[in-house]
Amino acid sequence: MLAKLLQRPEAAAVFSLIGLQIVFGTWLGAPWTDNLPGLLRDVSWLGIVAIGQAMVIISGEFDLSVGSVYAFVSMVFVMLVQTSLGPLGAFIVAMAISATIGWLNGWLTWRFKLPSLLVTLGFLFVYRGLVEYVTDGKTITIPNEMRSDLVLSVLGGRFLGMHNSVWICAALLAVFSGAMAKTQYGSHVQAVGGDVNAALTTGVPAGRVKIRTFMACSMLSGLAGIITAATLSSVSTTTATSMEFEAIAATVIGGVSLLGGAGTVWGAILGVFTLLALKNGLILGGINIFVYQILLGTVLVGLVALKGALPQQFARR
Amino acid sequence: MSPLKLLLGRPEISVVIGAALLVAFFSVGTHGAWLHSVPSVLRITAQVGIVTIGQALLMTSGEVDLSVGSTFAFAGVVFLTLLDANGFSIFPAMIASLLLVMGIGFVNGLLTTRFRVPSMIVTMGAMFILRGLTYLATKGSSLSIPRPLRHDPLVMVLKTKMFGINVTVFILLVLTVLFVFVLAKTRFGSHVAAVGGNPDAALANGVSPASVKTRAFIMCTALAGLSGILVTCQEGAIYSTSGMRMELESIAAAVIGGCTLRGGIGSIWGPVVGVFVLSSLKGGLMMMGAPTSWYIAFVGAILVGFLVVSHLIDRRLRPVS
Repeated sequence: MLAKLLQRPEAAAVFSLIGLQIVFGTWLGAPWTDNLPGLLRDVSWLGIVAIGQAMVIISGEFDLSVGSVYAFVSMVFVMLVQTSLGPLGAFIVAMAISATIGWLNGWLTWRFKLPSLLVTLGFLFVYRGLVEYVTDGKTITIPNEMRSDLVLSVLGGRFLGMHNSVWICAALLAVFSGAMAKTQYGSHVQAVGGDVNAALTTGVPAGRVKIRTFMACSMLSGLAGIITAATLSSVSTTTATSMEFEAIAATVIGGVSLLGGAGTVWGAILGVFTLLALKNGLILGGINIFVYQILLGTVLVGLVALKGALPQQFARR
Repeated sequence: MSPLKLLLGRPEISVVIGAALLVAFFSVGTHGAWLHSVPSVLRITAQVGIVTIGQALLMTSGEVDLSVGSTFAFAGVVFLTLLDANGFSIFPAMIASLLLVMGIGFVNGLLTTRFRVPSMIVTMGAMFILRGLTYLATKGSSLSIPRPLRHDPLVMVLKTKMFGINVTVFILLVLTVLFVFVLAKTRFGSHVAAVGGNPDAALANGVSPASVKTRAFIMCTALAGLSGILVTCQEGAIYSTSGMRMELESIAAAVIGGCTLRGGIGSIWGPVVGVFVLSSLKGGLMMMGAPTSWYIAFVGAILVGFLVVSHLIDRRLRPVS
């Protein structure tokens, strides 16, 4: 039983979490559990994005545009909230835009057989450029009198002492874990990621599956962006820069194979937890935040290289 | 085949037409004022162009390097650190920092080829690590050449202009000619195209994709580092944000200039013309009063657009696969 658990690809994230708890607990006297509500809020924001990224990576593709989509959609939401659409209308329009963005990523990748890393790299800059153009280096905010609106308080408020984003993230995790493990769509995602030709010969509609997965990913990134906007009531030029990097690193730490076909959504959430516990500890320890960036890069490359070097230990299940 | 048909079949054709149209458009649109900005456009072209030569070579071998912008800045940081604290003089410091960044290229290549990590992931990691180190070393602002060395003859040479054009532009020209020759006429060049086109066939013919690709990675970071060092000498300083988004510019320029991502088909001079197109676009948009954020969004859109076009060209050039 225990041996079986240790063999799971998610084990690395669990061990890292325990390790961080011990290191920061003895070194700072402030293990990450001390700051749990704040940490959970941050975990839920990045976590919602990582759920989508994990699904895209399991389907054998990548989405580098998540951070820009997050910022772009939350900016659109903040702008539309102040129009006659109102918060609910703004939410619906913003989600529709996210879905379209995801469809475009998926369609271009599948239809023209392009590497998704480059397609989404292009869009990373397209949406970031638009955010920079509109915000013009400043912060745009939701007016005070609107903040008590029902939609905004559902998305950005608190329930039982926790930010609602935590509950939303938990619900999404349950839904998408279930979908990946139990539905036909879930097994199709793993099939196209594992061996797309084999999937096609057995009648899996690979194009549709990949496009839907890209749509889910962009919609989750957009949703996370909207939730942040509703919580903080603002969005700025630099919102969610390099989030694509954090989301991919978290997914890898959580045991998802970069080659596609293997991994779980909840593993990605554990990966997010690990990353943010590390970040939190470094900040509390007064260490320069750029050290986090350097560690993140090292961990990402190191883990992936380790999997490449020891394929038997990380064999696909 | 007639010369015209030959030209039209080249992967660089779209970028040549694009460059011609752009020059005509900006010259007429600004009533000739744009022509006065050509020297500064060329100066920017030299910075990104030297980096892009390496990117194009690497893409021809079927890999890609996202860390070029960070390498560019990091090479400048290493160069200045050696000058400042370790008493190096200019030329030895240049050589030492180039060797160091070539080590980075070697690691990128090693991880990609031997450990089978996708090059985009390896170099994305390297991009963040090197940028983080650059931020730490510059303390979030900048480093400059120590005062006694500012009038070193080598630094002064790199600052000079010939016929009103920066000397780095001539360095770009020399490097372009050199690498066009390397890709077209040397054994290494044909190996690069071979491993990009079909690694298994290359391996079957006794060409090791791993070693060829690793050498391409080393050349790519060496060129990115060289550009960073030249710019540091030219401007007297390196900033924590130097070279940011250069990965996008160099990849977009390479794709515009006729490189495909599948590798195997590539060009060196096409991408350099591509950099000129992007730099004139940047200069032109600024002159017309558009904010720089337009440029970023524009380049992103051009990249995606040309990926689609290059897919169609790729199919035309290789009808049977």
